[in-house]
Amino acid sequence: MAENKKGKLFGVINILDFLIILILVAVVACAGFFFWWSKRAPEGTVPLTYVVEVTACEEPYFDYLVEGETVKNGRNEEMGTITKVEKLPYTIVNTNQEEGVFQQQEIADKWNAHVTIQTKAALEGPDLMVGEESVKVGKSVTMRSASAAISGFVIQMDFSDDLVKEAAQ
Amino acid sequence: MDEKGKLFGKVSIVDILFVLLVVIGLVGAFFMINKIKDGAVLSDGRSLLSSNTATSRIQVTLLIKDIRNYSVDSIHVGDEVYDLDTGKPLGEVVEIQTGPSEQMLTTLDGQTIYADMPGKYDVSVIVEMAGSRTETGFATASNQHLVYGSQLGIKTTRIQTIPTVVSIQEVNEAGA
Repeated sequence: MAENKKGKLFGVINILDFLIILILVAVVACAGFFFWWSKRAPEGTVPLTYVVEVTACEEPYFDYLVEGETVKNGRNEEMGTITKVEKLPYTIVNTNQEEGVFQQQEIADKWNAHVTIQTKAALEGPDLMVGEESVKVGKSVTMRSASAAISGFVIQMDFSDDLVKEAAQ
Repeated sequence: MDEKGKLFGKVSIVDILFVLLVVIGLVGAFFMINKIKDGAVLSDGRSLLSSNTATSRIQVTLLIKDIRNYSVDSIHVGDEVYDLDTGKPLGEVVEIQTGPSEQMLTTLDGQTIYADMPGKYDVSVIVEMAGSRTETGFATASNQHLVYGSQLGIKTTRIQTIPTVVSIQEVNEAGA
């Protein structure tokens, strides 16, 4: 090794200073790897179909919900492919004080969109993850396809319980 | 150590202290990560005790109010239930009771009555979990204090929700 009497490499760098720099570089590299590993999206293995409800949509919106288009979340992660779009009446609840009941009333020119999305999810604990996002009934999702923004709540999930058990093992 | 502060005339004492500091830091970080993984330290500060010390089982009735049929259909007997905040297992759904959601309404003649809210349901979910009755009340296996009227965030594979605790019983008391 090119170490001189003063303990310097090539007569320039103190061997101990060199070791400290090496340790620091190793620590930073390990921290970087740990961060990348923890943020890494797990690979999906469980086929998952979920339905997102977007409420109070106007007629033209449905022209932009195109079956076959992929949807991405705010982190630009692919959340699946649109396989079905349903147009359902948009209703609100009114109070009928005369009869003492609550009544559902359809609103003209407004609809609810039920967007069915197919993807593959990874099981992390009890959560089915698509990218870094867990999909669950009741969770709000904000996504966009090539043509439309999809902002609503997950109302339905369909997956094989057997495959989830298999993935958990 | 010589007059220049070097051990054996070669290694600076400051350098040694620095290396020691880095090594201690690395060892400390390793142990802390392991402790967090084991659940001995919770991020929300609710418990600093090790988990799963409970030996008895309790049944907790959770009321989820005013939900739609989609959510009702997503809860099943046998579902494993996890804490929404920590992700730790809590227990298993053993019973579900569904009824109409009722809201207050004032009629034209000034009476205040309860009327069914169309398309909305109230669901009581009984979750059986490891837990115990302590001097300060009921606690889950991860030392989460359970009190009547408190909210307990839960999740299963299908659903996440924040229901209200409406009943806590030891399993032998419940006759199960």
